[in-house]
Amino acid sequence: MRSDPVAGGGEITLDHAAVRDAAAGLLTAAEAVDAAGADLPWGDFGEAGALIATLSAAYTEAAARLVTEATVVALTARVAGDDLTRTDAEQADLFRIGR
Amino acid sequence: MSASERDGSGLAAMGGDGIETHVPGDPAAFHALATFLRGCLADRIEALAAEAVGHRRRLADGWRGEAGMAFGVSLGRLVGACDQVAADVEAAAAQVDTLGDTLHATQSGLAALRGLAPSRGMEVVGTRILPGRLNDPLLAPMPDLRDFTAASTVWNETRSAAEDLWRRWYDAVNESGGWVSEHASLLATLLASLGSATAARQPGQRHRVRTRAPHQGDAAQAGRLAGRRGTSPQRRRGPPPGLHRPHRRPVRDRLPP
Repeated sequence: MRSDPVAGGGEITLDHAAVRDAAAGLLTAAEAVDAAGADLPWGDFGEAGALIATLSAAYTEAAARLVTEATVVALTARVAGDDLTRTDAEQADLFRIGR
Repeated sequence: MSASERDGSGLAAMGGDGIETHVPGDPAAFHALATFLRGCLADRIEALAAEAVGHRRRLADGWRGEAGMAFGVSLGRLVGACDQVAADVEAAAAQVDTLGDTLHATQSGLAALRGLAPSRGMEVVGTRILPGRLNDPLLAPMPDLRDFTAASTVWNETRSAAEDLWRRWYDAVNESGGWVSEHASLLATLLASLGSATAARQPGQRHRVRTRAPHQGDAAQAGRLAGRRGTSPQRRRGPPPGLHRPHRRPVRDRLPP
């Protein structure tokens, strides 16, 4: 546990183990979503085949976006939790990349 | 060319070649997909949201400071998106179930017409119902007028019933097509608001949840989806209108305190 006083009387607290657990948990849950695509059933949808393909693509794409987002957040948390050389503000900036 | 031929529907089969009663497709395939969407994909997305909510709570005290707050904001955004997508996946599952039910009703209805046809003076060849010999001047050159009128009535009734069944199926497909287009666009707008690495991808670079379905490499659909995403309106913080599903409680409300 890292705890440093900051200007203004507040305190920075960082439980490294808890952050690592959070990152690992998010990555595992994201991997489960990613793996769900392998179970996508397929069959004879007749005249609705193109429609069903579009629907499936839309939702697997959406799920992939969530997987990517969860992975980015988890890996950023892991970096921020392990890196003792960055300031708190610099670590916060890591979460804002691309936003 | 008749109207049914112009719209490319199975109604074209209602002409002189008889009534087509075979509707391609397996209703079980629709229900299997709906079960997957509801019971697998939506559930795992919800589990991801629950994981994020749990860690956000546990780290409320374990990570204080600007970085901890930024982490919490990122998790909150992720949870909100998961809730929206999971709810929409369930709505999609309902659409797919409805399509499967409609296909089943269409197939059953047309099969029933086909089964009744011989007893009503019509012929069945393969999956087609034909008018029968009363309408064939070579086989019945001098049919009784009353018999002819009765046979015509039965034929027209059967044909009308078959047209209704076919039309119901095509209407269901068309309506679902509109629903899918609308929601794919709404999803793209919602997910564009996530930003981060997903927004920083190169044009044309795609990452979809791993699938083994035969449509996996459908370049045309991928292009349409990518195009929709690329032309989505500017970022917004809240979910796009239409994606809310009030019947579904957010994950964060279903967790123990």
